[in-house]
Amino acid sequence: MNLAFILNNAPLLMEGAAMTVALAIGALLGATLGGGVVAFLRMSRYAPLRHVGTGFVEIMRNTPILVQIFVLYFGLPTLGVHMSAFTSAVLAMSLQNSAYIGEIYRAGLESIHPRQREAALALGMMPGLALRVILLPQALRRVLPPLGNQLIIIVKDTSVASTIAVAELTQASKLLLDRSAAPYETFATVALIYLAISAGVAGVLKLVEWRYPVRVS
Amino acid sequence: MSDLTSPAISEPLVVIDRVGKSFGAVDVLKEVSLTVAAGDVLSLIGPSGSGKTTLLRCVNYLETYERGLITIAGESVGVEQLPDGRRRRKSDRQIAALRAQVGMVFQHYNLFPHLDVLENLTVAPCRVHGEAPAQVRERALALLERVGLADKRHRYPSELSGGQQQRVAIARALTMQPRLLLLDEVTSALDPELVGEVLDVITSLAADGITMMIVTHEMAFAREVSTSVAFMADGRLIESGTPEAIFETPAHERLRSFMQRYRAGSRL
Amino acid sequence: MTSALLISSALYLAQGALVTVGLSFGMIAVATVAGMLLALLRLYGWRPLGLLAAAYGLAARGVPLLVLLIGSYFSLPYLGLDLPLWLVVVLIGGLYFAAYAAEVFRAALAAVPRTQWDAGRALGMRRVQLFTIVILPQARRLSLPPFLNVALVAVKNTSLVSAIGGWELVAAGREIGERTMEILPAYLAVAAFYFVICFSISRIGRHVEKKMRYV
Repeated sequence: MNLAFILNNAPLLMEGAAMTVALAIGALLGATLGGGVVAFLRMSRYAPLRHVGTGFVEIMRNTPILVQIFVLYFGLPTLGVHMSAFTSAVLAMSLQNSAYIGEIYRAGLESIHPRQREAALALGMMPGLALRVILLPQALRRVLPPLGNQLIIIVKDTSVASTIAVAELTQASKLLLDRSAAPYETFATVALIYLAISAGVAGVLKLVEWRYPVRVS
Repeated sequence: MSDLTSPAISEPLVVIDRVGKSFGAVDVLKEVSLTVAAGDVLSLIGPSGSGKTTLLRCVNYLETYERGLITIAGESVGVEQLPDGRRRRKSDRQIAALRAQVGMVFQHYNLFPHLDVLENLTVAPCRVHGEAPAQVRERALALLERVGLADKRHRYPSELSGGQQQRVAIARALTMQPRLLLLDEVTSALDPELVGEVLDVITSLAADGITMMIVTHEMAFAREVSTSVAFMADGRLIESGTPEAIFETPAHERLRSFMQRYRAGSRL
Repeated sequence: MTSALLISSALYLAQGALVTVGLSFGMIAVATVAGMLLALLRLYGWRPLGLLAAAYGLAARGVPLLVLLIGSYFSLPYLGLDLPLWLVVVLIGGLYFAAYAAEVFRAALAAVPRTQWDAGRALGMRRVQLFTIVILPQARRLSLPPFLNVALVAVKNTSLVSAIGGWELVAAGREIGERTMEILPAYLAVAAFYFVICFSISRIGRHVEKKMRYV
């Protein structure tokens, strides 16, 4: 074991890990909000909005995140639209994952029995208030497990940002692998850091699930 | 609860005037007219598919209707008649404001599973009327006391029996201080041994003069609790009158055969 | 762009798409076999092995595929293994997606009611017979839609091969873009190829699911 090599390069790895977390937080916020928009479109009363939502979901689900990043980072500048590598990566991850998360939200809302909405309306609630106070709280609790899985996928997707030279963890590991003869140590350390970040996200989600349990009547 | 026991006024509280509704080619309500005075308890009886639940749901506009008009305290339900004779759906805000004055209890309780018992009672008065939480809480606790469930106030619906859930649902509707209470087959989903506790609560509300419209299959209960009974079949109001008149001296052939089958103990 | 260049570019991309399809099928095949093995270990296997399978699943699902690919690409030569890149990708990618496939199979097998086992035993079937004749066919139908999702993600992840120097659809697109200086159209064309591949797979999957529908 060449632990000294890892220790010497700990600052590089930690900076990479910090960038990975920053990418993940950006994409996580983008995708959880974007997912709301997607669900809203997909469940709209108006057919054209539904079609836009369906088209977006199909395109995002059927094309790789890597290609989306390349389109944004290498393709758009030819049209005069320039974004930093970080912005391109966060935007692409947000778009792709908002398609998946939108479908998760939709399934959650559709799993709430229509009688719940009816009971809320009968108490004099406006449709918007019924959604906020009665339907969404129940739906969000039910979607916590699949949402957690998707958030971990976002953490892992951040590694793709290394292909456009964002200085995140995978990029840091490539630098180390290039300059060293300690591939296993580097590889194992990087894998463990990713595992720790994923486990952290999963742990937070478990806490939220425990705090807001699903109840049925 | 002064709203609920306002003294009888000349104008009936609920006026159902030639109301009609269709699902496609099927007329589920045909020219139904009824009135309910403040303090009345009206029971709607009749075979399954007779339209009695649909009529009840029209009264707070959970169900739309195409013909005729329902008014509560002079205010039309769900739609307004324009001077040129056309109808226009009221705004969501107007419809919600009316529903806030009409309590409803459902067959399947429909409690909110993510809120505890007390929160189920307080959520609508606080969020719809914007009442002070402390004040709502006090009223809610008094109502829970009344339905015998004050000790369950921090339980969740899933931790209660069906009968207890339905009593909470009644208290939830009353916490809004409605002028009118609608009860839709509130004992139909209950195990037989739990029916009594719910009917007892409703009987005590009737004794307090709370105005109610009740859809029920419990004939003995309907007879005991009602001030008037309406019999419906095939979307039509066939006969209405005092409980004695309906149960002792039914005039219409449909009602007589319904009563006979009921007495013979067959499922209605 | 002249039409001749357009056609030759499209053909070039189509070659890349063929490689992508080949890698995808290899990965999915490995993922299916290994995933079923992991699921069986977890449900019916000797307990320590089942726990090991569970731990493998957790680890594999917590680390990015790209890291695993880079790691094995760099470290395999040190082990004295000189495998071709496509084989490394198919094996590593397949084992990675096996963790996801295992979750799908496990959930589907567990969703077959216990009473089906009782019914089979009452007919005198042995354990293996019962599993293959009664349980597996029912689980197969349940697992198809979520398995298709895993398969689509696998197809999309073959694009990572271009990041470790392999040649497939994305790499072909990059070359076309550099050669013609039409970068945006090149990558959009790549996206379109992926869309066609993935969309076809999900359509075929839905067709198969319909055919399997019974009751």
